[in-house]
Amino acid sequence: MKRYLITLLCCLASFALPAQIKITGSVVDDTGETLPMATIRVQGTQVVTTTDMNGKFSLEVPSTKSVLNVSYIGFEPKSITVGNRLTLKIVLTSQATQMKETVVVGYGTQRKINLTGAVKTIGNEVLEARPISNAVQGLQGTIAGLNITNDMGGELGSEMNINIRGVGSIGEGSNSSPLVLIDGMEGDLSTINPNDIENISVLKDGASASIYGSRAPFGVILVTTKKGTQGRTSVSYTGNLRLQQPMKVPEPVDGYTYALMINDAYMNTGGNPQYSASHLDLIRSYMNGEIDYGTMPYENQNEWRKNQGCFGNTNWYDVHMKDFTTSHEHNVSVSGANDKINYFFSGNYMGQTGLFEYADETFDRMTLNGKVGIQFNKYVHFTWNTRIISTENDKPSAMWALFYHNLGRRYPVATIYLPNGDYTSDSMIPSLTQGGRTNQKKRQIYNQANLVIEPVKNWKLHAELNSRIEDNPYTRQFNPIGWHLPDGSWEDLPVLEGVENRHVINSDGTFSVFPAAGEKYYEKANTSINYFSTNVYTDYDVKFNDKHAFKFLLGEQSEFFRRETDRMATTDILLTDRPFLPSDRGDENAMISQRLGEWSNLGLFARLNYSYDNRYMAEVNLRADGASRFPKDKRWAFFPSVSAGWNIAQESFWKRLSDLGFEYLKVRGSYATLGNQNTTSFYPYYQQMQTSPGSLVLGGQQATVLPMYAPYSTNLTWETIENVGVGIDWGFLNNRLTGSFDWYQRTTKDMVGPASALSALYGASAPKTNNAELRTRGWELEIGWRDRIGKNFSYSISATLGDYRTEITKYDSPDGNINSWYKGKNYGEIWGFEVEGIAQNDAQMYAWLADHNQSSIGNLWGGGDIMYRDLNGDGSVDKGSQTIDDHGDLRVIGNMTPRFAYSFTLEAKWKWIDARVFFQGIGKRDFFFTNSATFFGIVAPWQRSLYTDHLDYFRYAGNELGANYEHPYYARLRTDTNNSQVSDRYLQDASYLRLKNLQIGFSLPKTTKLGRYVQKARLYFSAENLFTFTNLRIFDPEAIGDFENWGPGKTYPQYRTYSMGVELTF
Amino acid sequence: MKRYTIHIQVAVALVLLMTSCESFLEREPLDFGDETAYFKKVNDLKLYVNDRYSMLPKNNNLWGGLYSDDIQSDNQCGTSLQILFYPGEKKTVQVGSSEWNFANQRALNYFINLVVKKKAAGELPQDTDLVNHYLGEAFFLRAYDYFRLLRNFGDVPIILDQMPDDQAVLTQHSTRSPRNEVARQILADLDQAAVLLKEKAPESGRICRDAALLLKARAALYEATWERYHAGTVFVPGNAKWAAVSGNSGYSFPAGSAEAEVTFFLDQAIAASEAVADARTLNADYQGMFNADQVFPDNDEVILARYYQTGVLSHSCSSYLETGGGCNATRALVNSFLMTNGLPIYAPASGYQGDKLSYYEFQDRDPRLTGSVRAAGSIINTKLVDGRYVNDTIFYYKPNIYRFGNEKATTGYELQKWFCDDKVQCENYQCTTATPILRAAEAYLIYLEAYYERYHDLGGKCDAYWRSLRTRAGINPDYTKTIAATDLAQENDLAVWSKGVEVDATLYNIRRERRCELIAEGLRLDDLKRWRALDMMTAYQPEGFNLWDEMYKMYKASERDETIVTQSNISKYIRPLQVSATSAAYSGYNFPRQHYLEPIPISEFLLTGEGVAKDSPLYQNPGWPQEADGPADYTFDCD
Repeated sequence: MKRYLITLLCCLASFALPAQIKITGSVVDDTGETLPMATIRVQGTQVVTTTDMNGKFSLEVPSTKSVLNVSYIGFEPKSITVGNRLTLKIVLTSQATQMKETVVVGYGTQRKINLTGAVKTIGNEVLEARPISNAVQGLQGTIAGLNITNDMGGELGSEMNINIRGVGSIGEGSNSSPLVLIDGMEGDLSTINPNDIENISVLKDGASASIYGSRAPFGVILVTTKKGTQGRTSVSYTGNLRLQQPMKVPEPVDGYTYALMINDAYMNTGGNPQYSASHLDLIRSYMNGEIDYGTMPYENQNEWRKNQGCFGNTNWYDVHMKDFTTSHEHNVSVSGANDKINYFFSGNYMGQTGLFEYADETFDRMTLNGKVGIQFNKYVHFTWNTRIISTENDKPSAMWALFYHNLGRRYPVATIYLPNGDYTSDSMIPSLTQGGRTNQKKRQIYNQANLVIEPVKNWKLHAELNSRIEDNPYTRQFNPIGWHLPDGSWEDLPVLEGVENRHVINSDGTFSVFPAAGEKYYEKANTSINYFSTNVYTDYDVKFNDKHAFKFLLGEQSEFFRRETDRMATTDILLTDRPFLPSDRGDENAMISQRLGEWSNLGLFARLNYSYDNRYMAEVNLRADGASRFPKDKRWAFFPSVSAGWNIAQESFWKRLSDLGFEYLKVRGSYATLGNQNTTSFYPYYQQMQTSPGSLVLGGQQATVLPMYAPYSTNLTWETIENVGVGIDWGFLNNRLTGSFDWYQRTTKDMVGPASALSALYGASAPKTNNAELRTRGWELEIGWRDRIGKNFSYSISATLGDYRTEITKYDSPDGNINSWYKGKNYGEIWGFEVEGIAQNDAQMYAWLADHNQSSIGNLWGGGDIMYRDLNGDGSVDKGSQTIDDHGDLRVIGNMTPRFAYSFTLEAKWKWIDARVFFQGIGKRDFFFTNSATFFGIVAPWQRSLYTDHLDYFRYAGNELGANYEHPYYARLRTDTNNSQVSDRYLQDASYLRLKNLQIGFSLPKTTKLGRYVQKARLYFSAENLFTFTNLRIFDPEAIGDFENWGPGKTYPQYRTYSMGVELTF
Repeated sequence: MKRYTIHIQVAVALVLLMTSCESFLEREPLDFGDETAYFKKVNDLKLYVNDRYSMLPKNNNLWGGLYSDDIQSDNQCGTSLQILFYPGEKKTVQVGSSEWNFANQRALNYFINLVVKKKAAGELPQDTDLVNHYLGEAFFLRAYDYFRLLRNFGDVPIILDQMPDDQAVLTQHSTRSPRNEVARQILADLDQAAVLLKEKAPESGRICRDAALLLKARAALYEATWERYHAGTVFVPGNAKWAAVSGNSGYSFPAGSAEAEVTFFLDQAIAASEAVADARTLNADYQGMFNADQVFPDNDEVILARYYQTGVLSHSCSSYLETGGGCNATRALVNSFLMTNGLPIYAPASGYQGDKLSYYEFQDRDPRLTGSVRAAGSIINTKLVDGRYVNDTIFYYKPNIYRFGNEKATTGYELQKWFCDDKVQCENYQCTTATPILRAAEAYLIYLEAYYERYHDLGGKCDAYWRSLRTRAGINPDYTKTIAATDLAQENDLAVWSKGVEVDATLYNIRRERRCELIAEGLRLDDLKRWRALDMMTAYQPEGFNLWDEMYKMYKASERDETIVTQSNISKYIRPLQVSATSAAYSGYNFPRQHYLEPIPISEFLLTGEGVAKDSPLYQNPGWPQEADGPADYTFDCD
């Protein structure tokens, strides 16, 4: 309709003004490819047309002085004065072209050519059509120096760790996460709809980030969301269906093998076998099908055999893990713009299900986004943006850290069913299916108003008001579960097994509740967050003599953050399927808590950019910050930065090289100091005393307690972060070969670290002070190549590589304990023994022990045990005092920092087919599964997880499981830690290379008839985590973490995703 | 002039702006208070001391607690080896896992000093009785925790003020006070407590005056006997061998001499225990104190107990004890109990029926045995009627010697003492029966022992107290008959000896009374240490019941194979240490004397010695190395 109107208007115009000039022409890109559907607008009129399928257009203009504005998505807009030509060939240059490319920087944009800091902007193509659950996942590996890591597998709703340029701070009370700003306002990158993102800019170095001062000492991620672009209204839909499979699920041994292995382990440790001959017979009979059930009552007792007393054969991972699960995502957006107004509206839904058979977990995300920009007049532009995000994660309350722990160590001899048809308590199935559910919702409303006034050309005044209101409702419920005893009577079972039942209010206001068997429980909480910020700033661009270009920026930023969590719980619920809090005085276990906190921050900033002839560039940033987190006299701090660049290719002496294709080469350097105010506590310098309900009964009821205050420091102040960096950027061969290299050093001074130890006489951990320092050094390399072969085939290859190392340069550690921090410690280092080998028999072991006394590690050594090396030659193998001066026979055997993070992307397009392959990897990472039963099989009497991988342990000839003494990987199984000491033998190589994303798309050619109505139609197949290359045993390299220290590897599995999707734009 | 006005206006605006900035940045805490907010009401004082109650012993929700603490002694036997009792595996530990911990001192010193100061300044409410009471509780708790340090380390630094976070000051205060001075500090705190505390606790479960007196008697007797039996060794000050001798060679006791110091503590123990014993009679029902869901009245034998409530704090003894518990009594303990006629089992006319079946073994025995230990083949309660287990004779009751871990009957003498016959109590580890932690009976026992140690006769109130104990127990009150029939050579008890020398029959019978009265209450290891009885723990085999004469017939072959219990070729009694030939203590426990005291963690030496352990004002306990994770030097001369 609109098009007809416009045509009509054009006709009317031609009637009204007969002196029309008809011109024709074509629009092509810089490689000569025609651009269909490009928009041509006659400036100052309503006349608009678009190019046809062959990139041709025709229209009438009022005069030869008319100016045509030509635009096409992904290309630099171009304005052309018609002049005397009647036929025009308009060449548009791709926006991606390095020279013209602009990048988003703090409070503005900058042409990449003039950039003096380490900033990288990427478009939304890295997020498009990927079956990811959040934007963070999509950013992994896309930018060198932006480290996104995950050790925790793929739990629904889980978030990955992000840091820019490595570890910034080691204090538990401070954090070194980057600042995430969405359209200039602090926001949540893990909940934003990835489809709404136009581009993401990462300010990696201190000089670029310093405009944000104390909120951004460890880098900034700037997210710019989409807005309506000039042209007709377009409606687009994208959607995909996903199939997800668990990766690297361990393969437990069968029940009989398990019992034999356990017996071996106990006997090897000087203990008694746990499984008697008759018990083994029972297991064998069960496995041969001679007995129907893996448990029975104890003789003359009304009690079922449980856990290791059973005689079944169960693969618990098989029981609990689905073969695959499904998810889907839909996204609709409407956008458009004209001279006066631009708009973008979108809606998104994503629904995920989990990998566990009986858990019925779900994660849903819904977002609504509306952004409208109005050009009131020549001087005033106003944008309003509202974004509503809602996520919901629903799962069984029993599915917490201990569930993964128990799943990892569940005895194969335990069994799923009782002879009476009930599920056993070992199966954990009743607690998952009936034990009650935990539901976490997030609701975020972002409102942003942005007023820009430009009273004089190039002088702008910006006023931004930002508000984020969050509600995070949370409910958790426990319902009674149980089973029937052999005599048919009912017995209640606890939902959370193996934990002390209790109802405790923690100091952070959360409730630690492990309900008693048969007890109901309902907890309801809400965390509301009110964040408000203002940015008021002005900038002015001016150029003298066409060579001296200046940019000025001056402004203030204020931030206010308030968080409130209200929580209440009862064990008195009327209806378990529809729980609500009763309106009465409550039961004896009713609990309430409230936590409140707020902080505010005020920043004043100024920036000056100077560029001479695009050759020499310099930038100076000044920022002063005041933070409510520090005592009055330490509150304000001033953080300056400076950076400079030299565009060598612009020099006359470079002319010859430039003509040869080396047309862009820039070196740059920067220095900055920033502060860090990101302490966990909002009130770190206050004495804190607070009552709470105790685990204590006095006077016949639960007693309230008032604990002693924890030590606090009254002279806390800023951590100061000093950044130095140099870099080089290039663009050669018509910008087909581009790249950059950066080297940096970041020193975190006056770190609010874990305080230095005090002797125990003090009676508490020492209060935190600004007493430590660490240094991170690293480098980053990005290289890209893009080209076109012939008319139909284009391709690009890009790669990133980055590395960093962190060293503690100052730390007050009088004993130099190697398990804690000390001066000179490399972050992530692993101390361990060196292993000579596995003793083939007792005689060899005894001979070894004669001059390598291993009694400090353990007792009862024999054949099949590890022979550790005596590195300090004192005749005994020990850990000394575990200090840097006396570390016995320990040495640094590796480092668990993920190093040499790299990625490469291959993209190719041939006519209507496109493909994208994205590999991501870690080049070097050591990992030790300290005290991990899932790695060693058994590390303590009750910490045992025997998988088929563990079968490769030392056995003499004659062992029922077969001899394995020549080249076993594992030493003989033991229930103590003799053979599972941290050592080089079992140090794992956790590096990997992963095919993170593979995408093949089929687009509807624009030349077809349908192309008249459809701007874009693409059908794609996309897969995540398709292949992994790693030397790591048993585990997936991204699922080696643990929940609540139950041992590495006890976490949600990582998954592989296959998806099919469509993208349609009308 | 106008320009000037503008300047003023600008200046004022700037000042206003800066002021409003400062107030924008001033954020006071919203959800917690500080010491100025609390300590105004009596209730605040109560809440503060409440937080320290968790240091008192209890029965645990997961396995363990008072009922199983004696597995680290010759009274009970656990499922694993006790590393304390043999050389090799016990090592120095990191400060986090060590008893070298002063967190309670920090909290209590702060409180005591603050309240004393506020009281003096008249800043506390008029309800002086309760103010005093809660202050008294704090003194009691501080003494309780210093007693813990004394038992573990002997000499410890005495700090009565809150320490600053300044290592130099901490180092200055790190000097270890001689153990007798630590004990004197404990008594001083308890004297204060006894003055301040109310006679009747303001609510159930709280400390009262008699609690302070009984703890005082316990601590005084502990110190007196320790100093007497370890006299002249590295473990006692005032002689050239004392561990701290380099700095304190000329140490002189406050009482004048080592022996006078012992007398001082004995006199203190006698006076304090007498005050408690005279004020409180013994409950008629011995067993009922340990397994009923009840609240003890103010004047009860039970002076202090821990209470439980479902969902707040509960324990698990009935759940575990129902199936074996992994903490059974030893044969040595069972043998110590007299017949009801007052004779030891070996006495010719005792009427002892032998131990072929523990059912017979338990006939006519001290009811404290038959009520506290379940006999194989005895009458036991398994039948459920209306939610309670009722008597149901199963002659061949089989202890669960064949089960695993904490469900295992380790010796076959399963514990009955803390077991409650209420079904709800037995299930799901949520028992709520009260746990007595201070009983007047102990005051009776302390008086006996202290008086005899002091005067070597049974004068004073000894006769009355001893008879009361035996009468309540249900055995012949005439202890002279027992003493006369006692043949120390036939006693199966480490406490027959002190310093490797046999004690006299009277003192031994006082010790026997203590062993029997306090069965499974977690006090035995302290007794063995202070009596220096562990010297005789050489090639010591804890034993269980007589399996191989008769009772093995109750079990299927697979329930008693060599992987489960020792076979008849080793002994007719179960020997838990000898099941596996590779066991580190296969040939029995051999207590290294270096283990009488715990080692101080290495970090403490380095922190107080500015990185050089030998520069520290601290000294290590005898035989222990100044290094991490190291065993004691077993050749170190502890005499």
